[in-house]
Amino acid sequence: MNRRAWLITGGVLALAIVTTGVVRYHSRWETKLPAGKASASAAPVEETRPAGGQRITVEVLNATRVRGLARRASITLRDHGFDVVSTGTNPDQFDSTQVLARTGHQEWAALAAQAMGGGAVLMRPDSSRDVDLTVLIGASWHPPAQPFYP
Amino acid sequence: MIAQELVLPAWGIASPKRRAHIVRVAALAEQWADALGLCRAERDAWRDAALWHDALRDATEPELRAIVPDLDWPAGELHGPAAAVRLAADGEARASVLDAIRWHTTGTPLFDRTGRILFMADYLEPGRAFDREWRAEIASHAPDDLDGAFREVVRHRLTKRIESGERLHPETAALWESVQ
Repeated sequence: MNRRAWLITGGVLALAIVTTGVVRYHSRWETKLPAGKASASAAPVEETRPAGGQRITVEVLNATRVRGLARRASITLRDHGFDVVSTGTNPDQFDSTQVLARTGHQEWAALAAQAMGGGAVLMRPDSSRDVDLTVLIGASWHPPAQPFYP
Repeated sequence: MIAQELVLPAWGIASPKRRAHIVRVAALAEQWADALGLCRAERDAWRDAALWHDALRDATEPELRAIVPDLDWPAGELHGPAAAVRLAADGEARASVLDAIRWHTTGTPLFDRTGRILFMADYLEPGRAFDREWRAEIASHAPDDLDGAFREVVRHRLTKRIESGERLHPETAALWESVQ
């Protein structure tokens, strides 16, 4: 076998080894993922939906000057089982996140505050708003890292 | 305006000393409003919240509980909510003014600007005897940095209560947390 044939054979073998390694690496990680979860999802989401699957309706208001926080918070809350029915901007800005109980369910507000990584729970009954909770996103809230899809 | 010129709502119950305090709070709020060049509507809201916030401060506990029977708050915290209820019954519809008055004693992290101004002016008005220099300094610089002044007032107003182990109203505790 001449020099050219040896080079071709060696190249093919090296390519085969690299390809096999890549395939095995990917399949190893994919088998560890729970069904239905994106491969780039971070830690498993803690379930905060109350027992019985009660539907908790939420409006999310951005109380900062940072654009897009209400949308990011909506994703977080939906991941935790809350039914976000509206988003918007609060006329006033706040430093910290507040969860307002609109229908008297303080424990639901506490769950939402927990899902947001902390926040004050306040009783503010208001049946005119047609939601169980109002979440006011404060400037100290940092949205979780988004999945990265290269 | 002097205390004798203050006209409270007909249901108001405030001693001469209280009226003098109310006038000083309103004067400070108006001074800040002028320094900031506020629009007429917001200036009026600041002034009216100040003028009415203690309208029932000298009412008796039974009188206050009769107005807000659903509140199980301590007697000293009832005059704000009671005044807000009476003002709303009289037709006052500005949520900003009503909320400022309702929460001016406990405080709340949900204060808008009117609420913050009343909370600050109530504490910084020059008639109070304690920490005069510090309060005058904060009051004079408040228009330059309202949020900063508000944080200072909240911390100053609540630090001793917290250190003494006093049990705080949930809204007060949340307000404290909000400025940390």
